[in-house]
Formats: sequence, structure tokens, C-alpha cells
Amino acid sequence: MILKKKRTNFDVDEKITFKTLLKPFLYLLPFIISISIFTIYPFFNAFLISFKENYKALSGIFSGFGLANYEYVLTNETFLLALKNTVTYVLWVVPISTALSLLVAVMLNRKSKLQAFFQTAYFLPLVTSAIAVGLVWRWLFNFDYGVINFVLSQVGADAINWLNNPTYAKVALIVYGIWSMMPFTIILLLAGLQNINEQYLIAAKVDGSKPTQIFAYITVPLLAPTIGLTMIVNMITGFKVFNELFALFNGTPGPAYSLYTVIYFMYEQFYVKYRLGTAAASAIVLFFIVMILTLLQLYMQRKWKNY
Amino acid sequence: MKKKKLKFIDLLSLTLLMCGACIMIFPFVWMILSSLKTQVEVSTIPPTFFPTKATLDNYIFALKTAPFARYFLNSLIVTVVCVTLTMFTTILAAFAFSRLKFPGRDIIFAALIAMMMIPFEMLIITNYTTIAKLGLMDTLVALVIPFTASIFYTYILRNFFLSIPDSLYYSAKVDGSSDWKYLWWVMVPIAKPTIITIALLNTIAAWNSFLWTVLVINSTNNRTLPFGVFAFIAEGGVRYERLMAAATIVVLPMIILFLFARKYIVSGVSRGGIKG
Amino acid sequence: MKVIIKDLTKKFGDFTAVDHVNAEFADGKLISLLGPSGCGKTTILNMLSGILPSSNGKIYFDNEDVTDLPADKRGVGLVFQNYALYPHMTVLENVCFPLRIKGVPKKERIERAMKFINMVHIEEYLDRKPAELSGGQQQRVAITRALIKKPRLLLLDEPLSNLDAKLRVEMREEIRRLQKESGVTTVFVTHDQEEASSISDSIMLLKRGVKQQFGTVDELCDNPINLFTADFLGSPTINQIHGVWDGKGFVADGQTANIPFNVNINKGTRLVYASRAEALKLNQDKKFDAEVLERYKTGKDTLVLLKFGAGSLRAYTEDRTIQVGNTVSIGMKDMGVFLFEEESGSRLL
Repeated sequence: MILKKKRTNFDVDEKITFKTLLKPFLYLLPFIISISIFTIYPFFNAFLISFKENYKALSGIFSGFGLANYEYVLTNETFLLALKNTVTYVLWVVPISTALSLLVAVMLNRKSKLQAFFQTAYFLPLVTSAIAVGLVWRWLFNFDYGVINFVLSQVGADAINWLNNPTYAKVALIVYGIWSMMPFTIILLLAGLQNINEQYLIAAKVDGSKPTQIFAYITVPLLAPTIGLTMIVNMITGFKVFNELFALFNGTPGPAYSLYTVIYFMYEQFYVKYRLGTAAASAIVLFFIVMILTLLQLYMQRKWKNY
Repeated sequence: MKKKKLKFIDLLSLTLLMCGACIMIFPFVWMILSSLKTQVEVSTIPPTFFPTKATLDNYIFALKTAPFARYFLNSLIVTVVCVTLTMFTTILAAFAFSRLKFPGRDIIFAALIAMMMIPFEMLIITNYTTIAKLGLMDTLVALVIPFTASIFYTYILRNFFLSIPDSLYYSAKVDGSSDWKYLWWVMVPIAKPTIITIALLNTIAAWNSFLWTVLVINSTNNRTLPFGVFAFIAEGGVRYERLMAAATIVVLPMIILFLFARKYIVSGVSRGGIKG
Repeated sequence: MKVIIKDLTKKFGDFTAVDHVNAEFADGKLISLLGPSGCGKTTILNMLSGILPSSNGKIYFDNEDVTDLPADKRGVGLVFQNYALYPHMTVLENVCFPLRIKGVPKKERIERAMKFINMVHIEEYLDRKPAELSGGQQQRVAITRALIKKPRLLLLDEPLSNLDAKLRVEMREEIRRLQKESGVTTVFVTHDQEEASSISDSIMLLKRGVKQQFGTVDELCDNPINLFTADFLGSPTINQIHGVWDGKGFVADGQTANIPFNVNINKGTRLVYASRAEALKLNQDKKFDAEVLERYKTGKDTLVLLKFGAGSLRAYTEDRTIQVGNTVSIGMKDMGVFLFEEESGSRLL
């Protein structure tokens, strides 16, 4: 990822004048202004705010620097519940969507005449607004008129009150989550599959291996880095789940707060309670957790890789 | 014997794919079909698939009552302005990081790469305060200015620019070209596919942006489509056929975009994943 | 326009690519910068174009000091080794690019371009993109683009190295023709001495950044300043026999008799006796004997490979009776025979 070529930037004999520095500066100016105000400054400010106790946003007054916000967040029952919920969500959605996506990617990898149709069908969720689509899923999960309950009734099962039952609400969110995570995963896995050197596969076929054997012993191991990568990216996305939640449950964190997630906690602290300090602290806690988990995963994957 | 085996697997995978595909697009199909049904029909059990009496009433209601036409216009304006500005800053910055020389260029770029991974959720809090302090709360401007530059897109474009041979640059220089002309007359046309891809990804993100809009916009007239849909639920009552119409209005433009530009979008996404 | 370079130097860190080179290129002439890889010839070219700043020294176009003038203001035409055509533009657009930069309106651009398009004979491919052209065609387009702005100086960086052998001969003659027709001062970088010899008015030979010799082809061949020059030019390569000066003559390694020369050298100095293949006379004079190892027929001439002492010689002869295994007597013409000091390469005779 880091630059591979070392390009000599400046020639030793090139005269550095004010003019030669002015030009790149002007080209970079719009970019730098935008990034500074809306990315760099907020990034550092988030850290700063998280340490400001009793921070009042508009006036900027705070009582002093300290760890009070972090204390509040990390001991808060709601936050810990949110963490638990979020982790549960990730643990269900990421593995299942990865497995399903792998299957689909492998099947999509064979050229077929319906490529265009399949690509459209499987990748469409990428470009669509979570709010709008969440609404559709709400309709699908509707107790009285939803298609899902209809299908259930056809196979003799009872209709489930998806959106009002705390346990089933989780299932609903997970199903929706898997559905929306798959397109991105399929694309990445497909790209990874296409990067696998054909020669390995041909050699295996010539050796007489069955397709399932080829898949298990050659394709999957060679694909392992890509799979690992997608799992990490998806884990990070999963931890930030919010839009889907918002859409499916109309802005509430699920029936009886059953789907209270970390970002929801942050949103509440920030928008509803105007407690910027704790909101910032919770965001930062989340991202430390995610970073640590990512590093853990990378470490494990590296160990795994030594076959 | 072998031929038979192959065919079976092909058939099996085709069938499975078909089933999967149907499940994947079912929500969209259902959305569009439901939006064309009457209230009565939408609440029938067993549910009908195709509308027996297709009607555009829901759309008319959405466009007239909840001002979806207005929302659409807002979304359009915000998206177009956002993407234009972002492309502009990105092209200039990518050029500076690839072709121009200045001390610290590569170090600064490496630092930016490190910052690529900063999640938006961390920045929301401060950006919200900034917008408030600038007095831009509840304006379309507030929906645009935080999103006028992207490190990620700059990274992609800069890498592409690097692949354009130096000799082209020197050739143009010797021909008397200024840097500005070289950028716009030579580099940008050569980079067209990459630029289109970035613009498409940007468009999709801008069109679908929701959370930020909810935070920053209060008045109805300034809402963009995603927010409009959300508000419609509360304001329009639980009339699902209308909600489906609203959802379709948001989603349809992006579906159409996807149908036309599928290759670019897919390649852009796979590049995006690999950035990690 | 004449080009004068004074003490031109270029250093990359500790490495000196070009070392205090002085020269004057006359107006309207075709000059080659010749030398092995790494001798600094391309570096000099890049400094002439303005792309690369010099570490030291000056460059003058006529009487104007252009050393600090940036590339886009020098009025130089440059043809790269890989042609550097803009891939997204048609041939016509590529060729008109310099005029478009200057702001010339489209109709006029094409009008002005036609003259050169016809001169170079690329009328047939005006609508094609560079990717659709062959190497030779691309090169012609590149040359046209360079000529269109009526440059004061035309620079070509190994323009023929990407072409196949037959095309190379054709194209170098084309380049010569175009150069003469347009009358522009041209500097041409190559490592192929035959190429340089065939079309240049003058050659500047370089080795490791240092100018060895500058002059016409004949001057470099007949009057080489040092062993390197004598060795680099001429086909086949000049014969070189190592030996020592015994006070009266040259004694080759592996021989006892000497070949007398009228020159004042310290006894015991190690020497290299160099002679052009065409400068040796077989079975006419006798300075020394040699045995024929091989004979090659090349067209109307016969080239014989002779064993002499520890080394070998090549000589041209029209005598068809000489066979392998014969012993022939060797004489020398007045021109084409030299003595160099072995260590320094400097010329003694």
C-alpha cells in the first residue's frame, strides 16, 4: 500500500523559488482547505472533546480536562448493552454473508450468458439508499401483510411479529444486514478469484481432482488473503451499523431497545442529549475497539497463512 | 461420463444462482410493484404479485403532498454540486501529488493515506458544530461543503496519473504547454475511465447520504430524498403503498444509473475494497 | 541557429554524468552525440531541451544565454525514444498540438500543419490514433510534431533504436532528408556508430561524461584522438595488437621481430598498435608475416582473419588466391595506422 517507487522529487540543481512552490500550493489549496476543516480538524478535535468534561458545545465552556467522559461511557449500562448488541450483530452477519458471498462468487466466476442479469441482481443493493431499502424490508417483515409471513403461512408456520418482538427483530436486522453486505463482498471475492493463477487450477484438473476438491484445497487457500480482507472490512462496516437500523425501525433502536447499537448510543448522546463530550468518547472507544479487533484479525490471519 | 458431470454442476449452479438472484432483487421488484397498487390491494391476504389495477396515485400523492418533487430537486442540486466540486479538487490535488514537485510531497501523501481510514462517524460531531458556528444550519450549503474533497478518490486518481509516462509531460512542456493545459488537455482525457468511475461512486454516495442530512436539516423544504422518505413515514401515515412509491423515487435514479454504468461502478468498488 | 555549450556539467549526487563539455554546433547541421550507454549523451540532450537543469556551465542559442530558460520557452523540438505521442488524440491532433498551445485557431492550425505533413508523408494516417500505427509511422508523426513549431533546434533521442534493422536504415535517411529540407540544426543521440557515421555532419563522441572528440566522421576515423575513439568508430572494429616499444620499433606480444616506426617513444613503453582493416596491404609490401586463419566473403571484398603474435588482425583484400593456412606478408598504407599508449589510450602516432 505504501508507495513502492522512490521517485526523486526534486532535482538537485532545480532552483526552488517562491514561484515554484506557489504552483503546487495553489493546486492543492481547495483540497487542503476542505480536508483541513472537515477531516483533519474534526479528527483531532474529537480526541480533544472527549477529554473535555461537561463540554457545552455552542458556548465552548467546559469544566476541565479529564477522563470523566470515558468513565461514563465505559461504565454505562446502555453503552455496554449497545456493545453487546453490536458484537452479536457482527458475529452473525459477517461470517454468514462471507460464506454465502463466497458461494455466489464461485458460481458467478463461471462465464454464463446471463452475466449481465446476475451482476445486476447481486450488486444492485450497493447503489441504493439504505433508508429506502430499509423501508421495503419493513414492509416485507410486516406482521399482517408482509410477504415473509405470507411465505411462512404457506409452509404451515405461524406468522412472526418480526418488528415488535425483541428476539425476532434481531433476526430481521441480521437478515437485512446479510442481504446488504453481500454485494460488496461478492465483488471483492470475485476479483480475488479472478486473480488466482489459472495454472494452479488447470494443474489440479489434470491431476484428476474433483471440483469440490479443487475448491477446498486450492481455491480457498489461495483466496484466503482476499477472504480475510473482506472479513475485516465488513467487520468494520458492521460495527458502524446504523442506517439499516434506523430504516428498519423508524428511528428507534428496535422494540424494547433490543437493537441498541454503539453508533445509536453515540447519536443519542450527541443529538438528543447534547452531550458532545460523551458522544466523542463513545465514538473513540468504538474505533479503538475496531482497531484492536482489526489488528488481532491481521495477526491471526498472518499466523494462519503459514501453510 | 465427464461431460454429464460438468453439465450437472453447471445446471445446479445456474439454478442456485437464479434462486439467489431472485431473492436479491425481490425487495426492489416488490417495492416497485407495491408502489403501483391501491391501498386496498396492498393489504390483501394473500398478497397479489402484480397489481390488478395499476395506479400512479401513490406517486401523485408523494410528489404533491409530501413535496417529493422538491426533495428530488434538492437531492439533484446537492449531488451535482458536490460531485462537481469534489472532482475539481480531486483532479487538481492528484495532479499536484503526481506531477508537480515540492518538498515533502511524498511524506504528506503518506500521511494522507493514513488518514483515509478515518471513519465519518468520528467527524460528525465536530462538523456539526462547525456548521452551526458558521450559521449554515438548515441550508443546502451545509449538505455540500463538508463533502468537497476525498482523500480516497485523490489517492486513486493520483496513482493513475503516475502511470502516465513522464515523456508525455516533457513532450508537452517542450511544445510550450503550461502545467494547467497539460492537466486538462492531456492527463484528464487519458484518465477518463478512472475519472468516470470516481464520479459515479461519488454520485451514489452523495445521493444516498442520509445521516448527515437528518442532523443538519430542519425545515421540510431543504430535505433531500432519503430524509424525505424517512419523514414521510411519520407524516404520511402508515400507508405502505405510498411509502413504496416514495422509496422508488429515491432508488430508481440510482438503479437506472447502475444499469448504464455497471462496469465502471463494479470496478470502482473492487478497487475500493482493495485499498484496505 | 548555432548552439554553443560551455563547460556543461551535470552531477547526480556523487556521480558526474556530464563533465565540463564544450562544443559548438553550427547552424543547419546534423550533429550526433555518440557513445556507449551511460556516457552522458542523453543527459546533454535533456539539458539542451531544458527538461533537466544543469549543475554548471552555460548553453547559448546563437548569442542568447538559455541556460536558465525553462523548457516551454526554448523553442526546441524533441523526439523521444518512445515517441511520446498523446494516445487519446488522432495523428492530426497530435501534430497540431504545439500550435494549439500557442492559441492558433483550428483552421489555420491544419493549414500550417499540412506543409510538414506532406514533407514527412503522413497524410494517410491523419485520423488514426497512435496505437493503430507501426513504430516507423509513429516516429514520423513524432518528428512532424517536433518540426511544426519551426523549432530553433531539433533534438532526437535514439529515435531509431525501437525499429527493426531494415527500417532503421530507411528512417535514418528520411531523417537526414527532412533535416536538410527544413534546414534546422539537429542534435541526434545514438549508440550506434554506423548510424552516426552515415548521416551526421559532425559527431561528438563521449565516454563517461567526458568529450572525447568532436569533428566530422572522416576526422574521427582517420585522425582519432585516442584509442577509445579509434575503437568506437569504424566497421569492422579497428585491429588492436598489444606490445611494447623496443627502442626502434613495435614488438607485438608473442613476437620477437619489430615493426619499425619513425617516432620518439621511451623504450619499454606498453603500446597498442592499431590498424584499420582497409589499411593493411597483403602480399604487396612486407613489414611482417601473418598466417591466414579464416576468410569471409563480403560482397566484392574478402575479409581475412590473420593470426599475429598473441592476437589477430582483420584485413580486406581483393586477392582471391589467398587461402586459409597461407602465410601472407603484411604491409601498411599511410593512413589508418596508429600507435597508442596502452594505459592512457593517448595517441603517439
